[in-house]
Amino acid sequence: MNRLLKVSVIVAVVLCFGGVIYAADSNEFGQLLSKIKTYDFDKSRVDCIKVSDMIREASGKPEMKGMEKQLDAFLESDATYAAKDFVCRELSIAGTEASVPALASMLTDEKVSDIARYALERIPGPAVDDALRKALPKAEGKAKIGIINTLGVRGDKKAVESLAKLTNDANETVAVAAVAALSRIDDQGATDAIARAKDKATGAIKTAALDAYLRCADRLAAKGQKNAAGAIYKELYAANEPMIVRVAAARGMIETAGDKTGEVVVEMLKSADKPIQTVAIATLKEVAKTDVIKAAMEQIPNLEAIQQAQLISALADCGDKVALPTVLAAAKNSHDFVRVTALRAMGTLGDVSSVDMLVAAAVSSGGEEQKAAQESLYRLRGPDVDDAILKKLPDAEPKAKVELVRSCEQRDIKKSVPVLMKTAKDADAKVRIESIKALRALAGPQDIPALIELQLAASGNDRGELEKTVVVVSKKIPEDKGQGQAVLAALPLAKDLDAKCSLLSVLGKIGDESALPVLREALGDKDDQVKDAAVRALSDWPTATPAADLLKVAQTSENQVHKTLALRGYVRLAGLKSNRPAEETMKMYKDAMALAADVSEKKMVLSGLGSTDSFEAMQMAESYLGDKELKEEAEAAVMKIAEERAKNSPRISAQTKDILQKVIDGTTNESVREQAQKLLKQGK
Amino acid sequence: MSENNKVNRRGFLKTAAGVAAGAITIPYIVPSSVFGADGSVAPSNRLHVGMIGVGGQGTWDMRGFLDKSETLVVAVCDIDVKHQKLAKAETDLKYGNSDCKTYLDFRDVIARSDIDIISTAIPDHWHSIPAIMAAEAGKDIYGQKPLARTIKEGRAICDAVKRYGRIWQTGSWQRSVYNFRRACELVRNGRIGKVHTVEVGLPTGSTRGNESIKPVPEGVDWDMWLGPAPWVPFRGILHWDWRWIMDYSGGQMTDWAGHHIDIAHWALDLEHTGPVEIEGHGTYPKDGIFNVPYQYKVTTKYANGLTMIIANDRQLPHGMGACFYGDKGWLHVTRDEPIHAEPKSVVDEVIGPNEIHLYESKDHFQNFLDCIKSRRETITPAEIAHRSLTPALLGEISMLTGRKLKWDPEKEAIIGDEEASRMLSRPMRSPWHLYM
Repeated sequence: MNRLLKVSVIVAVVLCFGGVIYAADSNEFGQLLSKIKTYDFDKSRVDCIKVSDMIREASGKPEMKGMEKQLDAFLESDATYAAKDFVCRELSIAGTEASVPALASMLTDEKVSDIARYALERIPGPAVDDALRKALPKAEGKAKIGIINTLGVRGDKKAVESLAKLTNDANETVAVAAVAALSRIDDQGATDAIARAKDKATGAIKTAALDAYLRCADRLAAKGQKNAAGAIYKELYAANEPMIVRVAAARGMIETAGDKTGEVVVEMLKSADKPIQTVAIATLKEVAKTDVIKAAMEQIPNLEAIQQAQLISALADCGDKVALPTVLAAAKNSHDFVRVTALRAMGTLGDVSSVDMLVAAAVSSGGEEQKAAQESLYRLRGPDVDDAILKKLPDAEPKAKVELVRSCEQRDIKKSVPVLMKTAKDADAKVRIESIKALRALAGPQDIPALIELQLAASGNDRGELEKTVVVVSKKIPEDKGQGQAVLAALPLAKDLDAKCSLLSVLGKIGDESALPVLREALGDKDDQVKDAAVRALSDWPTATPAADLLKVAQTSENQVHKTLALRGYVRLAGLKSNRPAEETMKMYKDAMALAADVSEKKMVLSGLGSTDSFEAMQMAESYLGDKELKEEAEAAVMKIAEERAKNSPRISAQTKDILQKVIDGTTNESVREQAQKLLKQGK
Repeated sequence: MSENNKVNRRGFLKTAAGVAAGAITIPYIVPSSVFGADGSVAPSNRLHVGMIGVGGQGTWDMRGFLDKSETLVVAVCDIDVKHQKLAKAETDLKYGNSDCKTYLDFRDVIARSDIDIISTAIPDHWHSIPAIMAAEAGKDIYGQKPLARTIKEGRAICDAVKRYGRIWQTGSWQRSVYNFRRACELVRNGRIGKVHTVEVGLPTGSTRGNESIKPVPEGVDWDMWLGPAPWVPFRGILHWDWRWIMDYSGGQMTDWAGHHIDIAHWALDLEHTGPVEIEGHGTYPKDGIFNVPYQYKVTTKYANGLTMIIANDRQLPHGMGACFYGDKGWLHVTRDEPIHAEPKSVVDEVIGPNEIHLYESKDHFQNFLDCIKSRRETITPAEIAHRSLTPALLGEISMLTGRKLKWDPEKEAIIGDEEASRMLSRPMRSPWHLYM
């Protein structure tokens, strides 16, 4: 007796203790729920968020059971729609079968049926299905359709009979929903019901049934039941079904044909219906077996040009080289778009044996066809393609040579450099130019002496292109490793003035500072041609380092051409990006303006000034607003500077506003005025 | 007359493109010469386009079609009559006639047998139903990203597109920009070595206070706008800002998944798979009408050991874009910037003919139109868009449950978390369902 009492007391204490803890949590949760009873969509969500957080915290813990009970009770309370909507959303994630009674009671009420379903559809367990099935006959309108939809989503096999009956419903929306729901239920009875609906129905219900039947077949196929799936596809492939259904069925037939895939593909390629031919071609990649590809290839002569082109592309996508002879033959097709397609396919399927054919096509055609041949030549895969190209290059005809040289560049064949050095001296001008351009991409620093040799021996356009090549290749050397050394070393080799000037020009574009003394010395050369070359080279310099040299020439030269060239170069260098203080840049422009001899030179200075991001530059430009001849350039410079400054600082200073107002008042250019007004408006 | 001219041009366009011809896959583009020396096509021979959703993005897409000689925009549809009128005015002005028809219900556009292309730019919760219906009706589809609001809806779109052999282009246009393809080719060809981590930076979200219930603006069909989403009264959120509300969107993370996650997948050859582990942490608004996270960080692991971190730009060192970290260096690509890499020489590397060359498109709309003619898969088919979006949608579920998820990318199932699995789909408001 004592022992029993003891045990009873312990149990009571435990229960009581547990109850106290539960009550504490439960109270907090309950209080929150009371608060949200009046929640509406335009109110604060703070308490709802707290409820959500508590539910998430309780997920998988024993206390969730009690909380769920409170949520269910909440649904039966007089809470607002918004509050119940919120609770249903919570139950959709945290709810269990325990919530079914509360939710099921809402199902037939069209006002709240959707929110109840929102929860029920996601809650697992047969009790939910039972409740939905039970509600179905009592529900009407949208509530009924919603229940049908949810039964489908849940794949409830026990609902098949009821849903099957509803496929005959007088309400078309209900019948369509029933058909769609049946298609989501993995059950033979459901599939049979859809088949019956397909045969009996018309209009939207028939369309839905055909789609549903296809999805049943797809599911069977995915489960490996290819015969059953194939039978449905075959039934739907019948000539009297809509073409889009036949197309889908044809795809299914091919995918489930197993060993007979080739036969099915051929049968479809022989079809009188182009869409069927097309779907057979489209599906080829998914069933890409060599025997099927071969069977399809044999049908090419029987296809119209459009389908031929489509099939050739499909063959390329399959990537099986067995198709190469067919593609080669198609490259000679009488239809240009078939030829283009075949030439493009060669890039994927071709190999070393395709080089001649692609070169010939690139040489003999133009437009898209030539582009296709060229691109495929550039893309041909295989370890021996590059060697084949190099082997053919020296003895090819000029036009073929051009194509082969281009392919060396595009294929990045570094080992082609010695060959290209030779073709850069070819008798054919186009071959030479293409070779020099290819060398620009492929040659390395070790090739610079040879390139300079070519440069010095060349003339005219060739020399110009070679100068560019020497510059580009020299710049492949790291900046601190003497980019101009090879050119400097070659200077003594220049046999005539033209050659020397050509090298000086290259030195200017490279911009290696160790070349500056040489160029400065050349400024004082006794020969005007050399001086001219030196001024131009310094003007091309990539940084402002030789600016002072150019200024000096502009100030002191007695040769007007050199003066002009130097001033132009000086303004160019002033405009290059630099870390020097803004006032130094301003001084450069002021010096340049002081030296500008005529209107065109002044315009040039103002144009350069426009790239300077400083208020002083704007003021300088402003000072020319009243000059009739320079007004236009001055306005442009002011606007350019002002806009650039506005990007960094939207607030416009009073002084800038004054200048802009001056532009507005004085300009005759409407666009400039609008631009200035817009800036002023933005800056307010 | 040359041989190619013997092919009836209308026949070519229409039979190569529509159900009249069926479906095909061709990798190579039919030359513009087929359409005439200058590439022009008579109006009666053009592919007819029906635009569903002509707000900001939809108008942008509409202009994409208006600019093409092969297409004719014949229908514009929107739940906002104002949008309809503006879109029709622009279309009529372009064509110099008044032929473009306006619609409120997208089903009426899809039902038109003369329409070959459906283009959709509508809120995310509306993406699946019209897409599936359009596929069933034999239309080719230009669909805006993200592909769908849930993973199951995305799968249903992919299945429908495949079932009916439709050509699908997702609005993930970055794939048609040289810089992105170039970056992906450099990564794919191992220029930064074996990639172990990729950071995907997407925009940061925003918050907003609670909104009062307001009268529905004149000319707006609010019930149609809500469609399959739960009923709520109109609170002033209609265009654009729907993307901050969970019923309609997953926020910036899911919105932009179709851009930078897509690029990350492309570069890493993960386009047909997905992560195996996902752990997300988000900062959600404490109140207000917006309820998607404005800050987020999702760490995903792939079966090959790769880690992908998806986060709002402010939480990542390189901000927006995709930044790949390999055992030989790193590479970052984003919009309007050159590719940055370490070592710097990586950006100048040449990809040789025997290396991997990715699908090339120089014009996203043109790629779609070319594929309609050739029946080749586009540069961003539905399946790829679905896989690009999946990590973000799983990240969203992880954030909502507060748990790390395990994912089977083959079966597309969450492993061992029944509650989280419930969020792979969403119940739809009646009468809407996936297979209307």
